[in-house]
Amino acid sequence: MLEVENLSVAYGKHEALRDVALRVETGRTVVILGANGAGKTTLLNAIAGLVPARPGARIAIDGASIQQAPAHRIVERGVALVPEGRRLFGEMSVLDNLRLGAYAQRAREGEGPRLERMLALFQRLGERRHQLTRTMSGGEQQMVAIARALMSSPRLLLLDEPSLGLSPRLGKELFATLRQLASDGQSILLVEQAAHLSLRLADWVYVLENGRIVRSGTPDDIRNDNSLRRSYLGL
Amino acid sequence: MVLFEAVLSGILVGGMYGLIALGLNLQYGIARMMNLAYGEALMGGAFTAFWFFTLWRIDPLASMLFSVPVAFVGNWLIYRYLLTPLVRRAANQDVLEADTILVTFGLLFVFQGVALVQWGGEYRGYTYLAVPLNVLGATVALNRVLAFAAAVALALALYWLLRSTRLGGAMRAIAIDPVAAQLVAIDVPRLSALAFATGGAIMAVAGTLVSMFLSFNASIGIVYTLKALIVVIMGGVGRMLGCLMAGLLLGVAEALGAYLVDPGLTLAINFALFLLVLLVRPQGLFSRG
Repeated sequence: MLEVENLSVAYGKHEALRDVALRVETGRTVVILGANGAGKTTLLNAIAGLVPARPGARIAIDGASIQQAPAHRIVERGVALVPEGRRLFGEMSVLDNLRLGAYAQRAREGEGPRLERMLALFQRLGERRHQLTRTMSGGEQQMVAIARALMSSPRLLLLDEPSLGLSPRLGKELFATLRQLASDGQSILLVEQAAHLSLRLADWVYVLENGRIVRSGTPDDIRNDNSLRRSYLGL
Repeated sequence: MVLFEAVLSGILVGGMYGLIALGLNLQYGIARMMNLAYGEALMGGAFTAFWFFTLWRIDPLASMLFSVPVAFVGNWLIYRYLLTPLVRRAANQDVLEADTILVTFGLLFVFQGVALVQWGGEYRGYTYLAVPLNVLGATVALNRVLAFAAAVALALALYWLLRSTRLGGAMRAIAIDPVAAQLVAIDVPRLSALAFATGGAIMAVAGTLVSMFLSFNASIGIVYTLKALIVVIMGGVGRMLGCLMAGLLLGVAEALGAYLVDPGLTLAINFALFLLVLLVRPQGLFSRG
């Protein structure tokens, strides 16, 4: 459903991404592994329309280009990003954040039932629906961020290091939730530094180094690659 | 009793201050533009009401059918064609802030200059609903009560709009984080322009209301820009109810100062309060944390 070709992004003279190509098929979970500064966040931000790509890039959803579309239109096309740092509306309650998540036209229909589903999926949010999100713990905030993105009824969910800053236990909980979403048919593109949890979730893996895709394969391919084992699995 | 009358007249003017602070909050808090020409829409609204009334005996309230749409469209054009290009060009937020302040500072003199050439510098006013009214034993003019009621009603309507509608929620989201707002499909440039234009339209309403009971001239705009700025700082950027309360507070402080000390002190009291808030509670009187 998502096709990216020839994607390059530069901040001034610094080239953050170079000729990146990747695909996400409907219903699949694709993981992009990369160290700090490899360009993972830039890649997701470029797909979501937050940073402009160099001319010549092609980013398409179901064959239709979203390259150069403003970020709010891309959400309407069914791509939702859980951004780095979560970027919640901190002065608003959980419910207000989730309702804003359904601001997109595509999300208006079925908003009520979807909200109920989110509060069931993330039970802790149900208990704290009136709490201001800036007063919540990191793990709870990450749940709000994911639930807010899902409220837009996305065809593809982009996740930028969702486990960052979470305790190992909360990280595991989070990945269990993502696994449930994936088994419900949600297409997911996830970037992570933490390889062991994300590899278990992945149908396909890309490895990003210094702004380029250097390797791709099934999770088993990656696990069995000795040089990658050292860099990303800490083995 | 005279003291009570002073407080009462302060409250009546204070409602107006609250309203113009809300409008500035729309422009500065949501559209993120410090507009020093903000008060010029008030001056325009006041002159429109004056000329419509003196030339054609048209009711000031009816004159808003003309002045409010003009202010809305004019502010929209300013935002879209004068200020948005600065956003694209600016290297960072600080440069943008400096650029917008300089541009709108210049704009203020353009509007003021045109008004001076057209209508001269003398103070104008007209008599409208100057009927004495008894409020809890104090005597006030009906036009002041009407202006207060209209200002507070509009301010509360605006507050409700921002609190309880989808559109208002989107505007508050932009005020908190414009990037996150885009990620939930909010068209940030369009709604920012709408907020900016609405802020200008509110000033035309305020100008009409002010003209009913205070005299004004071509250079009055900047005075109200400053008052709105002071009230927003007192109430807290983005705090709608805080601004309403701060507006009432400023009105009462001005009236008490004028009554107890000297009417010439009004502006001095404005800035004394401003400095006090900046020194003691820079985040605003009604902000948490």
